[in-house]
Amino acid sequence: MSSEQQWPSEWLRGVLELCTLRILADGPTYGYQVSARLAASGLGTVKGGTLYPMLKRFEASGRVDIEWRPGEGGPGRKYYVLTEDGSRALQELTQHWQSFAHVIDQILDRGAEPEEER
Amino acid sequence: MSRIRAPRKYRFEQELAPHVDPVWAQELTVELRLRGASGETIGEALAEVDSYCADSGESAAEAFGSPAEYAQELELPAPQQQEGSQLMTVVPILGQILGMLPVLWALPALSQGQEVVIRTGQIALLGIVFTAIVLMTWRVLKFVQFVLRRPVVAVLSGVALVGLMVLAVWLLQAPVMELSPVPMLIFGAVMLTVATVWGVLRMRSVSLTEDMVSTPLEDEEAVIRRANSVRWTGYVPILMMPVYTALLALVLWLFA
Repeated sequence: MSSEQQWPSEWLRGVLELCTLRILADGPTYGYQVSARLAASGLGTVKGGTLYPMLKRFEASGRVDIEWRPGEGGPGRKYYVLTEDGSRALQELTQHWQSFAHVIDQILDRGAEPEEER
Repeated sequence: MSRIRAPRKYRFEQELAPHVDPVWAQELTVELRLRGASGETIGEALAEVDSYCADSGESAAEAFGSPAEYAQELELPAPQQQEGSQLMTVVPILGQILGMLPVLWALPALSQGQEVVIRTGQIALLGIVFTAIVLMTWRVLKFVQFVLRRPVVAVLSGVALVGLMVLAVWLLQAPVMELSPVPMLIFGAVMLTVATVWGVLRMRSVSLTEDMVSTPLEDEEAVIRRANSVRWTGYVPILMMPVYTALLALVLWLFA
């Protein structure tokens, strides 16, 4: 999948939280790295203006802890660490998404079930 | 993105977020302040943007959009404005006005050897000034937002307010009381001095670094240095009133 692929923005809005939580599950990471990994995975470019407010919401809701670390030859970086609440949210959202994706796959494969005749 | 070079007036933005366009950084600071964000919150937001721009090589405008939009997106919790303490900051200023006006009213009468006639217009003027100052301070954030977001309406409102004061003094001429100019001058001078000293002492008691914008990894010395370099600005409004009074008194005395 090309990292240049542009998905409809309303699709991205729905999955961005889930994908970001999944990246954070791999270990502490910082904003730009999340954005770069999302792009490399084929989700497309996620601007800082979209990513950081979401990370702020994660922080406020206790899904992540944060830690500022000095940068190497550059400015400091804010690292995000997934909390237990964050892991639980990731699990729930993943299951939810998989059920949803299954439903959509079925619709796309077979078409929607005809309405039962009364 | 490499460090951005900018004029000296942006030295704070340069220090806090060297990889961000300083005009953008300044606008974000203002937008967040208008939403009641603390210095710490603003510093952290600037540091996040700086870090991202340094890593990605993008400009802040490319990556984060306009400062106003980004400040809105951050969805900061509504500020808990401390109205009591805000109003306390204005008490010395009200005291200064209550000192300044009697001095200015007493001088012409003193130079002409007459009594001071206080008219209804002057009482109304005092009432308007006090009400305006208290209202502006009580809702200071809303007031600053209004001035910045609707500057034309704000200037017109200011002109209307001054017009109202002039009209009040001009039209309401009924005498209320007659006072001797010397005690009035002494009362005014004492009031002005006490209120000014109070204002200066209050300013000195405010913590040097209180609510300064500071980034998370910044050492305290840098914050103190920055706070020191702007400390004098806090004294300007307090010391302005006695200076104005002295200048106006001089003019009144010379031309009375």
